[in-house]
Amino acid sequence: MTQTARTINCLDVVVRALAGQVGIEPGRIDPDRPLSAVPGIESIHVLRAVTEVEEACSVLIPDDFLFETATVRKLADFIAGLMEQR
Amino acid sequence: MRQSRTAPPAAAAEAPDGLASRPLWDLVVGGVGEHSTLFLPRQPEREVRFTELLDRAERTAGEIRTRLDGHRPRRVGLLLGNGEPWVRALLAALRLDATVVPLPLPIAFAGFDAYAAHVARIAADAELDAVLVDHSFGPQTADRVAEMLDRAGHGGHGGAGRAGAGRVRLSVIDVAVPADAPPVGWDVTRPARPGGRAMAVIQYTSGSTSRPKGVVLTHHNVATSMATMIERTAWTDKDILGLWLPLFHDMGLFSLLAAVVSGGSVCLWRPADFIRRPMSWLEEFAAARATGLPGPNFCYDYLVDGAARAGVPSGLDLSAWRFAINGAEPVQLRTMEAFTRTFSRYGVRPDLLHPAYGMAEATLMVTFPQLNRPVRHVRVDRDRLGTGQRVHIISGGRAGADPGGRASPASRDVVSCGRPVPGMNMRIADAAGATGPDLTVGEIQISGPAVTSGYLTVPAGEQPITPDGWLRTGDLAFVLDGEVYVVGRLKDMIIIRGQNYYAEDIEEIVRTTPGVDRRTCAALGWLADGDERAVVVWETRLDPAAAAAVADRIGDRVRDQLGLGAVQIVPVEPSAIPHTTSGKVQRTATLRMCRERNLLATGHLIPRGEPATSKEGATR
Repeated sequence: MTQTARTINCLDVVVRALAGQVGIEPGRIDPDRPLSAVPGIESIHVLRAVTEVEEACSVLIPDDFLFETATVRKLADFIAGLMEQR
Repeated sequence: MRQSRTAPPAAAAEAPDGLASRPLWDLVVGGVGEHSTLFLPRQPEREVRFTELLDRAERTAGEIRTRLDGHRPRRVGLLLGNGEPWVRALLAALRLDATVVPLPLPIAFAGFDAYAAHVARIAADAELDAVLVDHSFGPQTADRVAEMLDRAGHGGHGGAGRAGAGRVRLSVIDVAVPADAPPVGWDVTRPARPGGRAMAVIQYTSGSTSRPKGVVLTHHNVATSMATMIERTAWTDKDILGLWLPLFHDMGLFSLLAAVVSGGSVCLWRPADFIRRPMSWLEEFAAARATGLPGPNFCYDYLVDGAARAGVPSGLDLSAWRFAINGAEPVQLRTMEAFTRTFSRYGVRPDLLHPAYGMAEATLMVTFPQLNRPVRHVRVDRDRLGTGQRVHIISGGRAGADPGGRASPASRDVVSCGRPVPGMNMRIADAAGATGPDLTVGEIQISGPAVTSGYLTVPAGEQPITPDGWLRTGDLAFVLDGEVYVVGRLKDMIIIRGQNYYAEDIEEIVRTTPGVDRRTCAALGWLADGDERAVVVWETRLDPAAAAAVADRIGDRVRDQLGLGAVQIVPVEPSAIPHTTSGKVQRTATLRMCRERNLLATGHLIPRGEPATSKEGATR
């Protein structure tokens, strides 16, 4: 898989995980806004979504990343980067 | 029971076993048994004996003293993730007879800057000499906080309030690894009269963006509360406390201390271990043969939900589990029933869950039910729960009895939190201290040897203490057959996942958000299907599209500054929010207005199974 394809795939996984945790349609998530701007989200949802994504992509997201104010897309890019390093 | 309604607060009584006059370090040393162990299922070091931890704490205390040029620190902040270093740092601080100030950790995906400012305000308010850190919650994040505190401690922001204190420097000390330093030595460090009335812990209430409120607890307060908790839960050295709560939270810290003082063992996780994979956590909890667990209401819902999603691990055996405490947020009957229903076939006893009422202002425990007895609950008329009103009981009230009849929107099921614990004086009263007959709704007011004398640095006139010396809790309750039923809150505070958020903090954020054109707003908590929700109602002349954009901004700022994510922001037209003639917002009337106009979003905070259909009105 190319880097771009993998990034797109990651974004899809991240968006679906977040939407599933909060209980909204994936279309309502704007990837260029911070994770915390997902409608109705709490840190508990993000942690669960991150856990889901870690399992789906076989990566471990370091704790430090959790305290960054990241956009949804930045998280997806970060995970794609981790997958490249494997 | 020693519930007092008319008597003035008793002069601080001695705790059972005379524990209260001794410093906490002595209680820990005297309590730790040969087999007391700290279990750490997710750490490289899977277990460590408390006798070994005491030895390490001696050395860490020695290291701290060396770092402070031989001075004994007066107040020490603890900024670490749950783990061996947290417990060791706590013991080292107690060893030095320093006042312990637990500091909150950052919340995942909330803004870092607002968090750092909050910690800096606490460090300044508490006049910390040192902050003990490790890097377990993220090395770079820990470095950023340490750097910020270091700057603040060198005469900058944090130095302002400490003129005349002698020391102006705040030292950040990394205690991640047990030191090789020599033990601190008994001779030089002890103050002339350790323990007793000296401050043992300053416990900051969470969520505040403005002025931090530090609950002052003396050695006497804490020792009394520990003795009470041990007695009420029949805790012994055979017991193992399961703990995933953050140790900087009062329920986490004092549950741990009680277990240690009684010679029991503790099995410790990080909160994320519980949140990320609740069923794996439950499996480890069962494997540890843990006998007790404290937690807020949501965690029991969360386990039920986890079982529904992931399935219960095969062979799960929870039969060693003796009791669970449900406290720190409103207790829901629905949760208690669902939990028992879900886990009874895995060895959970029907009377496992104990609804309790407590707060840092009372060290921890205020009321507690009888151990392993059926919990009482009543169904009451929802519209008769105001201050001074007499509750109308529709049904229930007998232990274990099904209330019968049908729940309706006009009724509410309320769970008993048991009786005031021994030594705790409690009355249900109004602001002037006047009490009514049983079943009258009023404020819970408390006094006794476990109760704080007040908040640090808050002027006497602003302390929540009645003229006759009772602490005003701000919580509303009624009493039936001597048991306490908590029904609401007088103070403007919203509790979500055991975290406190002050309405005034949220409202200040609203008022200072760019684009907000009027000052009138109200932050409210309300119950939807048993879950407490936060809603912000704000008046605006903006058109709907512009108002929606500003609402987004308000939501972002509330999240960044307070870490409160699930909050509904509702714009309303000018003068829609009911207020008194003096201009004070009427919260109950505002909530009623929102209900009548159908402005409140419902839906469960933890969505179950299929993605829920979106149910937003003016929600975000």
